[in-house]
Amino acid sequence: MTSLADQWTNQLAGRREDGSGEPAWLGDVRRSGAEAFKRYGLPHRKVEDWKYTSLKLLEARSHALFEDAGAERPSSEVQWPEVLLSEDCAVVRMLNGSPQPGFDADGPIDIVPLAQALAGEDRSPWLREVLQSLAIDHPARAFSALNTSMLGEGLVIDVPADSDGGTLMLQWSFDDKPPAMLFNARVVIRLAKGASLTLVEHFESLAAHSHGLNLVSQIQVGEGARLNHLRLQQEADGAALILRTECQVLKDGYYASHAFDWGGGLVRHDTRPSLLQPGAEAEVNGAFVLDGSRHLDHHVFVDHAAGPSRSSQFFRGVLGGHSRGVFNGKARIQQGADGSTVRQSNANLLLSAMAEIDTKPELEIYADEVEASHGATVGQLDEDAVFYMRTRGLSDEQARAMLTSAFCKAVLERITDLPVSLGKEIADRMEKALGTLVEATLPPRPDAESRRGAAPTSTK
Amino acid sequence: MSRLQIKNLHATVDGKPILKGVNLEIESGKVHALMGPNGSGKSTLAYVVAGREGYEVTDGSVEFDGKDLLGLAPEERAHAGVFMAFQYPVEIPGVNNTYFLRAALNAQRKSRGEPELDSMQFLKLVREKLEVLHIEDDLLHRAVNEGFSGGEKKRNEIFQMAVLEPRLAILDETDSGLDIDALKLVADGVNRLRGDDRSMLIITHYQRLLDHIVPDAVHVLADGKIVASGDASLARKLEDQGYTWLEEGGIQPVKERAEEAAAG
Repeated sequence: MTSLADQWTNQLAGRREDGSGEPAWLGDVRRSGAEAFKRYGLPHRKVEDWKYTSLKLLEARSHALFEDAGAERPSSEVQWPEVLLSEDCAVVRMLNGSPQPGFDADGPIDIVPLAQALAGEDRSPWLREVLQSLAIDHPARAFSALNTSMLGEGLVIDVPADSDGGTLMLQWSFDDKPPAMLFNARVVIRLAKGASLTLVEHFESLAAHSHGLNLVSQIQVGEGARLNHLRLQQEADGAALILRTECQVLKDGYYASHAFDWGGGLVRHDTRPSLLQPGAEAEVNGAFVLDGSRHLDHHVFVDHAAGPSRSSQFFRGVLGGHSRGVFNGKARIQQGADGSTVRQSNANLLLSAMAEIDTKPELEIYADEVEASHGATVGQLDEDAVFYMRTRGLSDEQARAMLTSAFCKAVLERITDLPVSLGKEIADRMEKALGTLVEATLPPRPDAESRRGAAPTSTK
Repeated sequence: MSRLQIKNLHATVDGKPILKGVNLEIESGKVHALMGPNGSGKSTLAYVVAGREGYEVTDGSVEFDGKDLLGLAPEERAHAGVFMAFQYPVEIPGVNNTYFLRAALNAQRKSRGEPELDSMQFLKLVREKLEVLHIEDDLLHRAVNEGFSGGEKKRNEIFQMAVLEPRLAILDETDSGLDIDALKLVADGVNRLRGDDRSMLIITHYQRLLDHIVPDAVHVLADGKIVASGDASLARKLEDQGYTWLEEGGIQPVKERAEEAAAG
C-alpha cells in the first residue's frame, strides 16, 4: 500500500507546470518545496515537534492534494455561515483555500488574491523575497514544504504606512463534496510602519465535510505597527487544519495572536513570532474547548532576537470526551537580547477521565538580563465551588458551565481594542461549546436513596 | 408556617460516625444557636442539611415544611428556601458577584414559577438590600469572594442571604475570623433579616456573636448529640464555665431532657 506521503510525492511529480504568465522564480520555489517534501515525507512521532500529534486522521482519509484552484468545485452551492461581526468590516470569503471574487477591496487596505499578485510584476521583488524566505528544509516543516510546492492560492494583504486598516474578516469554509481533499493556501500580510489592523479569521463550514487545509501565513509587522490577529475555529468534526504562522516584528511593533478553538478533528497551530528589533512585542494566546475525539496541538515559538523585547503566552484549555490537547510553548531569548521579558501560562481543566493534555512550556535563555516566568497546570473543576454555587440555587450544570466559562474568558479579556460586538459573539459561541461539553461530562446524579445513604446495609 | 425538623439524625463522613442521633426543631421566625466544642459535629450538621456530597446519612430525617430535604439535590434545597452561610466562603475567580447572584436568584425564581429579573430590576433590588445592610457596593463589581478579606467574605454571605430571602438560614461560624467591628456589622445584618417567616440556625463556637444576635434558644452539641438546650442564658453559662463544665457532668439540662424522654 502506498503511504500518503508517497501518494502526494507522486502527485507532485506528475504536475505539469504551465508557467505562462508567472515569473520564472516561482517554479524554482515550488520545486524546492516538492524536493523537501520528497526528502522528509510526512512528520511522524519521532520528529520532536510532532511527538504528540499523529496524522492518522489524514492517512485514514487518504486526502488527495487539490491542484486546480476553483475548477469544478461547486462554489455557488456553498452556504456561508454568518459573518461574526455586525459592524462595518471588509469580508473576504475563502472557499477551499481560494479567495472568492467580489470582495470589497476599497479602503486603506490593499487585498489581492495571491495568484493575481504573482502575475503582477510590480509586487514581485518584495513578494518573491517573502515567499523564498520560508524555512522548509526540516522534517518538522514538511507541511510547509508541501504548501510551497503547491504555491498559488491565497491572499496578499498590504496595509500602507500610518494607516488604520480597521477590521478585516477572512471566512474560511469548505464544500462538502467527496473525496476528501487537502487544500493549500498562503496568506502574506504586510503592515508598513505605523500601520494597524485587526484581522479576524473564522473557520466554519455549515455542512459536514472531511477536507483539510494546509495554511501558511507570513506576516511582517513594521516599525510601530500593530496587528491584532484573531482566529475562531469551529470546523466540522472531520476537518483537518494545519496552520503555520510566521511573523516578523520590527522596532516597537506589536503582534497579538488570539486563537479560539472548539471544532475540527485534527488541528495544529504553529505560531512563531520573531521579535527582530528593540521594543518589539508579541502576545500569543489561546482558549480551546475539546469534546469527542478532537485533537488540538498548539506549538508556539517566540524568538527574541533583539532586546529589550516582550512576549507573553496565555493558554486555557477545557477537555472532555476522548479529546487530546497539546501545548508546547517555547520562548528563546538570544544572546544580546538583554532587558527582555517572557511570560508563559497554560492552565487546563480535564472534565473526563479519558481526555488528555500534554503541556510543555520551554524557555531557552542566552541573554544575561532577562525576566522570565512560566507555569503549567492541569486540574479538575473545583468541587467546593460547584457545591457553593449549588447551595445558592444554580444547577450542577449551570455551576460547571459558569466556572469553565470564567476560566476560558480570561483569554478573551486579554485582547486589547476588541470590537465589543465581536467579543460578545466569541464569548457566546464559546459558552455554547462549553455548555455542550459540560452537559456531556456531568457526573451522574445520586438518586434520592443513595443521597440519603439508605441503601440496603445487608444483602444476605 | 415553616419549620425545620431534624429527627434522630445519624451521619458518617468517610465511614466515621459524626452525628449520632441529633434531634432539633426550629419553629418559623425563631433563631436558634448551636454551640459546642471543636469536632462535635456542628459543621457536619450544617453540611448535611445543605446537601454536601460525602456526608452519608445512616439514620433519621430532616424535614423542612414537611418536605423531606435529604432526598433533594443541594440546588433543590435552595429552591425550597434553605440557605447556608459558609464558614469559609469559596472564591470563584472570573465570576462576577452580581452576575452570579442574579443567576442564582433567577434559578430560584424559575423553580417557583416566578418571572426572572432582568439586570435593571435586579440592580434595583440589590441597591435596596445594600442600603439596608450598610454594605459598600464595590463588592458587586468583583469576582465572587476573590481576594476578599475575611470580613468582606462574611458580609458577602449575609448580602447573598438578603437577596435570596431564604426561609431557613444556617450560619456556619459566621463570626470566625472577624474583629469586633466586622462582627457587629455582620450581626446587624442578620438582625435586620430576622422575620416571622424565616428560621435561623446560628452555629458558633463563642458566646460573643450571641451578644449581638440574641437567640430564642441555645443548643449544645457534643460528640454528635445535643446534650443541652436552653434559652440565651445557657450560652452565657457556657462562656463562664467552658465546655468542660458539660463534660464534668453538671449538665442539668441533659438530665431534664432524659427525664422528659423517659416520661414521654
